[in-house]
Parts: sequence; C-alpha cells; structure tokens
Amino acid sequence: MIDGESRYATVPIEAGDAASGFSCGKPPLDDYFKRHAIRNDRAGISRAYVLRRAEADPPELPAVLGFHTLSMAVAEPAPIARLFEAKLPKDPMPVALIGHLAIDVRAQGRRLGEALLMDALRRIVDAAAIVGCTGIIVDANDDAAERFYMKYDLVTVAAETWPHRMFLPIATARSAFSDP
Amino acid sequence: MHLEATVPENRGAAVVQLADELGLTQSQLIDEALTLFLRAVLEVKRGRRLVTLDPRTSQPACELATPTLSALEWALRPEPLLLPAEALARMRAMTEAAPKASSCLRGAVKRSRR
Repeated sequence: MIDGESRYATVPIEAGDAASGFSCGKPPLDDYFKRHAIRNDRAGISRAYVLRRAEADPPELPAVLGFHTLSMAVAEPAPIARLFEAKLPKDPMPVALIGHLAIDVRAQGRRLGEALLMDALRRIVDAAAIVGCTGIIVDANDDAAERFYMKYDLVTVAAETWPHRMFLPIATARSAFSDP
Repeated sequence: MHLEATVPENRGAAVVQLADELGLTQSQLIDEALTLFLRAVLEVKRGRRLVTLDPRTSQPACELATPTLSALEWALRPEPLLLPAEALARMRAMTEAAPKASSCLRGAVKRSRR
C-alpha cells in the first residue's frame, strides 16, 4: 500500500450523504449521486467515495465537497469489431473504471478535482497490487473534462464514441506514486 | 512462526499503546488483528460486506473498508466495457510501453500528499 495520507482523503459513502445537498451543476451527475450512488455502492456495483468538508475548511462549504466512483471492468472489443477478430488482440484487458468524479459548485476552484482524481488513482494503484489491472479508464463527458484528464496523462483512446473514453496505463500511474 | 513487518510510525505506536492498554503482548494483539483480517477477506470473497452494528437499533453504523478489501470486492464484479478495436489496440500498445508519469501528474501526487 502506498503511504501518504492526504488532508483530502475520501471515505466510503454513507446513507446520509445522498441528502446532503450536493450539487456539481451537472444534472446527470447530481441525479446519480442523490439516487444511485449509495444503492450501487451497497449492491457492490461500484464503490462511491466522498470528500467531506474538513474542520479547517470554511463553514460555508457544503458537507460533501465531491465524490468519485470506482469499479473493475473488462475491456473487450465491441461486437462489430469481433468481425475482424483475426486482427484483434484476443485477451480482454482488466481495467479500473472511474465512473463518476464531481465537485460541488460551491467548492470548485480549490483544486479539489485534482485531489479527488489523485485519491482515485491512489486507491487503484493500491488495488492493482493484489488484483489484475492493466490501466485506468475514465469517461470524459465534455471538452472541459477531457482537457482536465489530459493534464494528468490520460489519453483519449475512443474519440469517435460518446463519452470520450480515456486511458492511463497502470505502470504510468504507479510511477507517479513511486516518488518519495 | 516469526513474522516481520514494516508499518507506518503512527500505526506502530498505536499497536504498542493498545497492547499496553489491553494488557496483551504485541504478538497477541497482532495475532488477533490478523485473525480478524483473514476472516474479513474470507467474507468479502463470499460477496459479503463488513459493517458495524448499533446494538440499540440493530442498524449498520458504519462500513469497514481497507484498500485490500475494496480491491477484492471490485475484482469480484468486473463489468464488460465494449470498445472499438482501434481503442483496444491503442490501450494495449500504451500498456506495453507505458510512459513514465509526466511532471504534471507527479506534481499533483505530491500536492495531494500535503
């Protein structure tokens, strides 16, 4: 496990978080957090981690500053691609999926998106020490999100689909955490 | 059997303090902790979640999670992710010749540790 606990470490979502008034300004993400995050977490479909306001933070900030969700996935060729199976790599690729990542509008501009992404990467790098994982996939839902992830070495691998799927090899992520 | 482990300073101090408080040797305390962790791994492998229970309400009070337990849980339920052939080929090439992290990513990791 990688050391280096952050002030911005997340914790597993709890039942009361859904009613905390979290709003990132993007209705699909807000709706997911309020209605599905806890249910999917309890069902083991994806784990949701929330970033809570710390004691040192200004009291006007919301109780939940942001959240991200993680799950394991197996990247496989889409059905149409199977027609060209002979030319394709045959083994599916186990990957970690950052399904959602959002910061409340009242907490934006504090580099919390970066802190949340680093928390997600740290958890995945830790997990990859004991389970097979070739890399990390995120879905960029708009150009701003794609630019944000590109800053941290994620590369768009499926620009023709929507949302744009981006990828970071696990070895690259691991190398970022290997510095003392 | 004799096992050696390197743990963070604060965790080691907590073991010493708790062993003293409970009147146990450090070996007894670590043995019990390991027994609990091995059981926890077994339960997660069976697809169960670990929670503490509030005896007054019999309702779960909080969930117990560690990076290892979370990773095991994720690994049990991978979802299929369908991608175009070119995307998969590109991912494979990136994995086989993974670049070192950029200074921007390294800087972000450093900032996150402060």
